Amino acid sequence: MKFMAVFIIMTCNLILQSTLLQYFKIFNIIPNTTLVLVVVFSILWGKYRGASIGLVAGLVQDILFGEMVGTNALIYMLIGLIIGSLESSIFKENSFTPVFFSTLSTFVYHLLFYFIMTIADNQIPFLLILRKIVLIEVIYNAVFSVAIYKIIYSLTKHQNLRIRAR
Amino acid sequence: MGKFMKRGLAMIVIIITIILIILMGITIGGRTRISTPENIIGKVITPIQRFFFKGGQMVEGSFRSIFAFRSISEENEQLKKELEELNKEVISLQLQNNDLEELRDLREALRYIEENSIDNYLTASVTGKDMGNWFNMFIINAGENHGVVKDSTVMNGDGLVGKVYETAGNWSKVLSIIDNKSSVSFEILRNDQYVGVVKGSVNSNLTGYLIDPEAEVLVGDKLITTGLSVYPKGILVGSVKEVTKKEDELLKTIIVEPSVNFRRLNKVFVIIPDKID
Repeated sequence: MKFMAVFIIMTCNLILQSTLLQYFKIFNIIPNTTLVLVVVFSILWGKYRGASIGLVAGLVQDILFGEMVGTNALIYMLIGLIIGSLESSIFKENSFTPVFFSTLSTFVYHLLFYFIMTIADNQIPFLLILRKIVLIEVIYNAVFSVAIYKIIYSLTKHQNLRIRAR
Repeated sequence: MGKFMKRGLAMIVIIITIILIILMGITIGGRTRISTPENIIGKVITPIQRFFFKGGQMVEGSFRSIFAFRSISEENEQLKKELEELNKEVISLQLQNNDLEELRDLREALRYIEENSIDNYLTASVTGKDMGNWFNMFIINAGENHGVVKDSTVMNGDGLVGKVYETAGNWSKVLSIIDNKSSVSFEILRNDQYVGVVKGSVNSNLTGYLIDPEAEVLVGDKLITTGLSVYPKGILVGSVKEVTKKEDELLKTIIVEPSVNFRRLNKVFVIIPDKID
C-alpha cells in the first residue's frame, strides 16, 4: 500500500514536471520537484526508502530524458542515502527543515552533475551554471519544498503511510 | 546485527554505484537502439504526457489571448504590412522562378546529378520536455516503427529544431540545437561563402563563430544549414543578434537568435533519411 502510494506520487510528479511545469518556467528555469520529493521522503522515512525511491525515480528520468542513463539515478540515490541517514536526528515538525535540506541537496545535485559531466567530456563553465541555473533553482526548489513537505507530511498521518514511530 | 546491516548497506550502495557508472559509460553519446524495458516505460508514459502537455498548452494559450489583447491587434497591423510586402516579393520571385524552371530543364537535358531534396518527412507531436535545467531534450511521439533513426533531422515550420538522439519503438528523444551538446554548421543566406559553427549553451541561446575572420556579417543576417553535418542543406537556423570581434582572437563570434520558439514547441517534422541499400 505504501509502495503503491509512493509509486503514484512519483509518477504524477514525473508527468507534471515534464509537461505542465514547463509552462511555469521562471528565467527559463524549471524547479526540480523530483529532487524535492526524494529529499522529503528521506527526511520522513530514512535512508533505505529514501535511497531506493531516489534510485528508481532517477532511473526513469534518465531513461526518458537523460543523455546518459544512470546520472540522475546515482545522484538521487546518494542524496536520499545521506539525508536519510540523518533522519533520526532531524526535527520533523519544523517547516524550515525541508527548505534547508532541499537547498543543500540542490547544491549537491548540481555539484555532482557537474562532476559527472566533466568526466563525460562535457565542458561547461561552472560559474555560468552557478549563475544561470543553480541560484535560481535553489530558490524555486525551496519554495516548492515547503508546499510538498506539507502535503506529504499530512499524508503520513494516514494509516498506510505512517512514519516510523520512535 | 546493526553493524552487519550497516556493512551490507554500504556494499549494496557501492555495487549499485558501480553498475550505474557502467550504465553511464555504455549509454554515453546516445544509442541507436533502446532496450526493451526503457521502450515500455516510454510507451506507457508518452500518451499521458501528451495529454498533459496539450492541456498546458491550451491553458497557456487562452491566458495569453486574454492578457495579450492589445498586442494582438498591434501584431495584426504589423502582419498586414508584412503581407503587403511579401505579396510584392512573391510576384518578383515568381518571375525569377520562371527563369529557374528553364534552367532546371536545361540541367535535366545536360544530365546533372540531382541534389537531394527533402520530401520524405513525418509529423510528430512533442509529448514532454526535459525535467532538468542542464539540457534541452524533449520527447516526440514518433519512433523506430515510423522510420525514425538516430540523427534524423527535426524541424518545424520556423526552422531547425534539432536531431534525434535516441529512438525507441513509438517515441524518440530529440536533442534541440540550443542544447550545449549540439553544434550546427551554418552558412549565411546572403552569401554562402561565409560559413561557421553555432553551438548551444546552458542558458539556451546560440553562440557561434565564423571561420573566415574577414567575413562581413551583419546583425539580422539569416543563417541556414550547410549540409556538411548531419543536417540537410538549406534549413533556417536563426538570425544574427550580435557580432563581436575580440582583438586577441582570430575568430569572429556571433550570438544567434534561433528562428524556432523553443518554449512553444508543439508539432515538429522529422526528416526520414532515404534508406541506403
